[in-house]
This record gives sequence, structure tokens and C-alpha cells, in this order.
Amino acid sequence: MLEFAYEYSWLIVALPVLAFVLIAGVIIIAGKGQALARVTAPWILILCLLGALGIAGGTLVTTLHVQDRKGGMHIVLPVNGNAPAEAAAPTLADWNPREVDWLAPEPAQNVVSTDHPMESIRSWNPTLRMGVLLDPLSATMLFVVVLVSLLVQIYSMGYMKREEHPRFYLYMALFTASMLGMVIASNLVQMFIFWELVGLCSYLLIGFWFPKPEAARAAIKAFVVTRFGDLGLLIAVIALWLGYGDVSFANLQTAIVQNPAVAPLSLTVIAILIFIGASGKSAQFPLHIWLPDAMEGPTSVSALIHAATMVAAGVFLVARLHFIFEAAPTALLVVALVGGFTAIFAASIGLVQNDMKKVMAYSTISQLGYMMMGLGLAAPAAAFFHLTTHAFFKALLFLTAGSVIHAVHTQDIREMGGLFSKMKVTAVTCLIGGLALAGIVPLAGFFSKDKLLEAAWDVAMHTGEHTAAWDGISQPLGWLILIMALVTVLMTAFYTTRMWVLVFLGKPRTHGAEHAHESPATMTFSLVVLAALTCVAGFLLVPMLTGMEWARTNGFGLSPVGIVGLLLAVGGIAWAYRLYRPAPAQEPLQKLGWAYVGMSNLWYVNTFFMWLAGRVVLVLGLLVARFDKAVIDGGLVDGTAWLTGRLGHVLRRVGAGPSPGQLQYYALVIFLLAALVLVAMVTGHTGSFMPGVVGR
Amino acid sequence: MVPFAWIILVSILLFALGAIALITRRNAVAALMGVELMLNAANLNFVAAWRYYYPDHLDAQVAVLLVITIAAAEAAVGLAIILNLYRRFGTVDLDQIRLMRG
Amino acid sequence: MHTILHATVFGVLALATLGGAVKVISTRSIIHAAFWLFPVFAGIAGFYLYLDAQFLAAMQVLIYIGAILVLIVFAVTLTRNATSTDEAQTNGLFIPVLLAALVLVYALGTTVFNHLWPIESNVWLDAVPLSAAVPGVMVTDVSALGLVLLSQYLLPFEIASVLLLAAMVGAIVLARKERTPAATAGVAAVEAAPADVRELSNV
Repeated sequence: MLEFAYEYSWLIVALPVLAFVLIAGVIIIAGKGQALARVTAPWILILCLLGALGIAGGTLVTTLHVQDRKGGMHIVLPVNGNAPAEAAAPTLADWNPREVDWLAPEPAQNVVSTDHPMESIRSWNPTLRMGVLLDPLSATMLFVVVLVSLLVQIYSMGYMKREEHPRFYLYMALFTASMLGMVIASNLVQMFIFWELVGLCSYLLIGFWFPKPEAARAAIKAFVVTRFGDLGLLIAVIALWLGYGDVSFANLQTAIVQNPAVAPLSLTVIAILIFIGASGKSAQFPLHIWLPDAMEGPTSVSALIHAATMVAAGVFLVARLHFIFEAAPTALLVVALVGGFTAIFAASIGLVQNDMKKVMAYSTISQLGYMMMGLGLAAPAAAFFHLTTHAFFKALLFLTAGSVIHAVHTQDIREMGGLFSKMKVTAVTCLIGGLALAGIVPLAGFFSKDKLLEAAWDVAMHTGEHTAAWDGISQPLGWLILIMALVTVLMTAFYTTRMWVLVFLGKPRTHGAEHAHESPATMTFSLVVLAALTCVAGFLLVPMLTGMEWARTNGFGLSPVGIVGLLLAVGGIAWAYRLYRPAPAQEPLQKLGWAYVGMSNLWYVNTFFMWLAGRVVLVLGLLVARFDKAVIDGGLVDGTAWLTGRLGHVLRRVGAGPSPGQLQYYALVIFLLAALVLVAMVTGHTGSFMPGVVGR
Repeated sequence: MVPFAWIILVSILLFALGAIALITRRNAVAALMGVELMLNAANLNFVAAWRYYYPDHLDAQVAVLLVITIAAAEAAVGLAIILNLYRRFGTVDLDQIRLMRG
Repeated sequence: MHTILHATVFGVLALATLGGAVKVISTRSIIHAAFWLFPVFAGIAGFYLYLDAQFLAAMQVLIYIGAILVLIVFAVTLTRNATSTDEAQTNGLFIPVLLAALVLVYALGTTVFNHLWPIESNVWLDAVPLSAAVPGVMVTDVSALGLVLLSQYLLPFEIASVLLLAAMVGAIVLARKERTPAATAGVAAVEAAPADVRELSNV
């Protein structure tokens, strides 16, 4: 069965690539302004994604089936040691990843080891492979990505109608292909290549409306900020490659799990570098600053890339490489702390945002922090579960936001209100998404959030099975993380309710809100499907994904900490409803004083970066630039050019002769020089200039 | 057979005379004649070296044949260019044709 | 006796070649200069014969004398009235080029005498024996040359052919009289044609 999945899984990636090529072809042939390209582009992509969805579904079912047969749910990740005693936790190698040589080096021939550093680098002869690794982690992610992408494309047919750029679908196809290639990758280098590709697509799509200066700026900001993280990841990849001579996940896991204590410090550093890479992509503090700006892109882009899939790539990366983190408990602590802090930090900013998409953006950052926290607490399955449910309900929320923006032509929630009666489908689906985000039973978000809270509880109390997180996170720190997680739950419920109430209840506050209409069927179709998925995903995915930890927790039941979380969520909803339902004239949170000022100024992180870039970096840069201009550029480069130019002037006088332009004078110069060269050669050769004397 | 150096000396002198013709003659056709002289000098060199030192190889003869071919082509194109120049400037005096004046 | 014969032949050929070349340089009349090319080319052909390269000698006569020389004479006649023999025929570069030529002759001559040739370059020799280029075919045979030309030197041979073709096309394109609309429009238009076109049609 797994053979079957391996046989066809490459098609999941190949079909979006095909769509990319076809759309590019249509654009080239028909011209991007032509109706042919406008009409066919979305359909090409949707049909290709439908095919990919079928294969991804088959792959998922097959993979999970094999997982069952292999005993327990322990195959995807080495989790928490609650495996049945008789079944040792299977490793990635058990999933028989397929790899083919991509860049095979010449077989090393008589490599003489010398002390010269270049020699040792040359004798490092790495093989680069391309491959496929199918396990529950990648199979589930593939399915989620294809499904959300398909729904977003359908939605875009309604949403993007005015824009009429087939280029949009071109980029979307490239993005989907890259994302899937990243998920399916069997080794780090392959993953890194696609990792950068999704970054490129993100840049292209954020700047899709590049005539708008904000969009162009946001695109550059996203690209540059994520590059910081990618640098860390790149260093980690190279370090692992040099250290272990292999980058395939399965081999790395075998090597590290067998000898965890070989290089604990190096592993910690590598793990933290990987986490920095993941922070850039997944917008963790303090590299989160690009994500809110990325909302300048079309809303469907925000839904697919900046909520559901690409920003989750960092979480996926850490989950995939979790075996490294398990071997480095200090890194786990860093991940958990940064994740937890990001969660509460972004949620607090989300409380006071008035731009509908910005609320979502900070909510996404906060939820990504939540997932990271779960990874840091050595509960990768729970974190990944939250990733999948979050992909559904956050995509749903973004799409409803797009629907509202489409109808009202503004993003400011203060200019909306009373839309419930005008946009019933949007309002109800948004409510479902919001409740899932807040973590209300029985929606998908509740289950995944519950699992994360349990993980935090276990680490704080040091109950349950012993995990690697216990070594890294002391009990007080565990309590700190748990409290941050719980406060985040409260804040999440609060800002979600605030947004929903301000948008859909009360009286229309502007002309645009008064005359809003429900969006076309292509858009509402996706909303309904996603809402349905949000309702059932918890029940469908719980047995699939959290089986790994299922035996330990109480399945669908409520754990004590889960009940606390649910109460906090309900409390937050009630509180926000009470505050905002009467449509206050003034923002009630202003009573918080300095906290409100901090929150509305994004806690001055952007300001700090601007100061850093504007003062410190710029001054340093100016110094370097001055040195470059004066010495390197002025002295060496310009000096060479100046010297050549002067020499040319002088030679022109000589070369052009007494009356410039005389053709035969040039011939004379050439002839003379040739004769002189000959003389030089002859004297150099014989050492003498006397005929008939030397050489005998 | 006469000493090898004698023939080579003829070749060298012919080459020098050709160069003088190329550089000093004002008439473009005459300058072209100088080029022909130089080519002939080179050919003579080839043949002499073949005859004296490599009588079992044919490379020199092939080279001479190719040079003659190219000389023919060069003469045809060169004279065509001169005719064109004449048509455009009304003269073939190289001193008066100064498009490269710097 | 043998030596004297050889020296005489060489002397005649060298005199024809170099004397002709000197006259080519020094004659005022351009058409005379063209005719003085004849002894040069013929002398070179004689050298080829003397050096047992009969085929090359034939080619020299055919191509240089039969084709190039005639071409040059044509060119001279076509541009005959361009430079009168009253004017100086050389530019002011004679002295420098003479110096350069002397340097060149000196350098090359030194090389000829100094180089370690397989046989000394300044001694009289009996005839150097000729041998077979290909088994059964003497180097002097045209067939040997043909064999080499179409096997070992096939690529240069073909390239030279293409070059000749290109030169032919190029020469035709360059030398063709430009057909301006005015020139084809009739006699009245010839009056209006540029001066150089009229001048050429008068020739």
C-alpha cells in the first residue's frame, strides 16, 4: 500500500507545476490582458489541484493505514515515550523514504589528506539527493495544503474578478507547487530549496498590487525579514551536512537518536539556528514584524500563504526536525519560551487592532506562537494538530474577512457594523471560524488547543511520561509558559468576539456598510466548505493525529486544564460581548492606560527595528560606504580607470601620428611594434644579436 | 641546391618591400599590391622550409594552397572595397580618406 | 659547375622577384606598378619550380598572374583618373617605414642564421631527397596533395571553400553599382543623380 503511495505521490507536486507551466504558456500565447488567459488560468489551476487533491487523499489514507498496521500511532514522530512497551517507536527510516541521486559527486580518487584546508573541503564530496518522504506528518500536510489551496482558488475566482490578472494564478500555482515540494522533501537541502521558493512566491504575491507603494514596501519587508531567519537555517543545514555527511531526515534521525550526547552543545546551537529559520517563516517574536504588513496582498493570498500554509512551514520544519530538539533540551526551552511569549504578545496587540485583516494577522502570529510553544513542550503531534485545524479555521476567517471587505470596501472594523442581516453566510461562517479560534467545544480549535494546554500542564506539573522537555524546562518556567498560554486563550476569545461583534452586530456605521451585499457563490462556496471542515476536523483528525498521545490523554473528554481553558474562552467572549455589543463611542480598552498605548504602538518593536536600522546599521553602513567610496571605489577602481584613460590619451597622441586619421600611419605603428616584438623575441631566444655566432 | 638562408633572405626582403608598399603608397590599389607581395613572401617561406627540412610532409603545400585561396578572396573583396571607396569619395588616395580621424 | 648553375638560376629568380618588387614600390605610374607585379609573381613561381613544387607553381601562375594581377589591372583602370602621376605617389612615412623594415630584416635575418636548423642554413647542399608522402605516392605528386587535402585537411579545405563563396558574394555586393531610384528613372534623372554616380557613368 505504501508502495502505491510512493509510486504516485510525486504527482501531487507535479500537477501544480504543470498548472504553472500551462498558465505561463497561456499567458505567453494569449497575452495577459486577453480574455482567454483570464478565463482559463483559474480553471487550469483548479483542475490540476483537484487531481492533486485526489492523490493526496489517497496518500493520506494509505499512510495512516500503514501507520495503524505498524502498531500504535507512534510512527510519525518520536513522541513523549508513551508508546506501548512492546512496540518501540518507529523512526523516519521505517517509512522507506525514496531518494535518487541528483548531484552525485565523482567517486573520490586517491584523496590525499593533507593539512591544507582547501584539500579537506575538496575531499568533502557530498551527494545531493532528491526524494520523497511520506509519513503521517507529510501526508497530512500535503492534504491540508492542497485542500486549502483548492478552496482558496475557487474563492479567488469571485474575489479577484476585478483584478483580472492571470499572473495571480500563475504565482498561486508556483506557490502551491513549492509548498508541496517542501512538505514532501526527504532531505534538508531539498527542503531548503523549496523553502526559499515559497519565500519568493510570498514576496511576489504580497507585492501583487505593486503599484501601491505600501504593497511594494511590504513585499520587500517580508522578503528581507524572512531572509534573516533563512540565514540561520542555512547555517544549520551546512553544519548538519558537514557534521553528519548526510542531510536526509531519516539518516540524520538515526545518527542523532543513536548518539544524542555526541555533541550536545553543537546540537543545541544547530537546533536554535533551525528555530531562527522557523521564526522568520512562522513570524515568531521578534521576526514577526513582516506578517502584519504582508496583509497588503490580496486577501486570498493572506488566507492561503500567510495564515494556512507558508507561515506554518516553520512549525512544520521544527516538527520534522524535532529529533534534534529532543536531543537538545535547552533549545526546547528557547522554543517554548519564544513561542509562548509570541502567543501572548501578538494576542495583546490583536486586542486593539482596528483593521480586520490586521486582527487576523496578529491572531495568526499568536497561534503560530502557540504551536511553537507546543513544539518546545515536546508535544509535536499536538502542535501539528493545531497547525492543521488552524489552517482550516484561519483560512476560513481570512476568506470571510475578504468577503466582508469585498462588500464594504474598507478594512476598518469601526466603519462596518450590522452586516449580519446583509451577509448571513459570511456572518455565520465567520462566527464558526471565530469560535474555533477561541477554542469553543466542539469546534476544531478546541481539541487542538486542549492538547497544547495539556502538554503545558504536564511540563509545569511534571506529570505523565518523562519527556525531553522536562530536562530543559524547570517547573517554574513551565508554570510561566502555562500561564502565558492560558492568558492567550482569554485574549484570543476577547479579540475574536470584539471583531465579530463590531463587524456584524449593531447598526451600520457607514454608507458602505449599509449597502453591503452577500458575496457571489464562488466565494460563499469555499466559506461553507471550510466552515464544515472546521466543525468536523476535530473529530476526524483527533483519532488520526493525536493518537500518538491519545492513550495518555482522555480522548474527546475534557482534561482539568482544558476545562480552565474553555472557561477562560467563554469568559473572554462574554466580556467582549458585554463591552462591544452596546457599540461604545470610545474604545473601552483605553482604560488600560499605558498598556493600551503599548499595544496600539505594537509594543514599539517596529520602532525599535527602525531605530536599529536607521541609527545603528545606517551609521555603520555610512562609515563602510565612505571607506568603500574613498578607498576601494575612488582609489582602486576609479584610479585604474583614470590611469587607463590617461594612458589612452597619451597613446592616442603617439598612435595617431602627425595627422590623425591617416590609415597607413596605423599600419606603420603595427608594423613597427611587430618588428620590435620580433627583436625582443630573437634577443631573448639567442641572448645575442650577432648573426652566425651563437647557437652552433 | 643553394643555401636555405638565401631563399629565406629573398623572402624576408620581399616581405619588407611589401610592407613598405603597403604603408607608403598613397594609391589604395598600390597598397593592396604590397599586401600581395607580403603574402607571396610568406608562401615562399613555407615552400622553402618544406623542401629543405620536411620533404616528406605535405603540410606546407596545403598551407600555401590555402593562403593562395585566401589571397584571391582578399584581392576580390579588397578591390571591391576600393571601387566602393572610389565611388563614394571620388578618390583612392588613402591620405584623403580619413573616416577614422580621431 | 653545378654550383654555378644553381647560383645563376637563383640569381635570375631573385633579381626578377626583388627587382620587380622594388619597381612596384618606386614607379610613379600605378599601371606600371601593376605590370611590375608580373616579374614578382613569375619569379615566385620560378622559385616553386626550383623547389620541386610544380603544382604550386602552376597555381601561382594561374591564380596570381591569371586572376589577381588581371583583377588589379582592372581596378587600376577603373580608378585611373583618381591620382595623377604628377603628384607624389608616396606619403611622408617612407623614412620611418624604411627604418622599421630594416629592423625587421635584421631580426629575421639573424634568426635565420642563428637558429639551430637540422641542416645548417648557410651551406650548399646536394639535392635533398624527396620521399613518399603516402606509400607509393611521391610528395611532389598532385594526387598526394589531393589525398591530404580531402582527408587530413578536409575541414580547412571546406572552410576555405565557404570563404571563397562569401568573398564572391561580398565582392559582388560591394562593387555593384547602387541602384538609386533616380538612376533607373531615365536620362533626366541622371542629371539629378549625385556627382559621383555621374562621374562613374562618364568613365
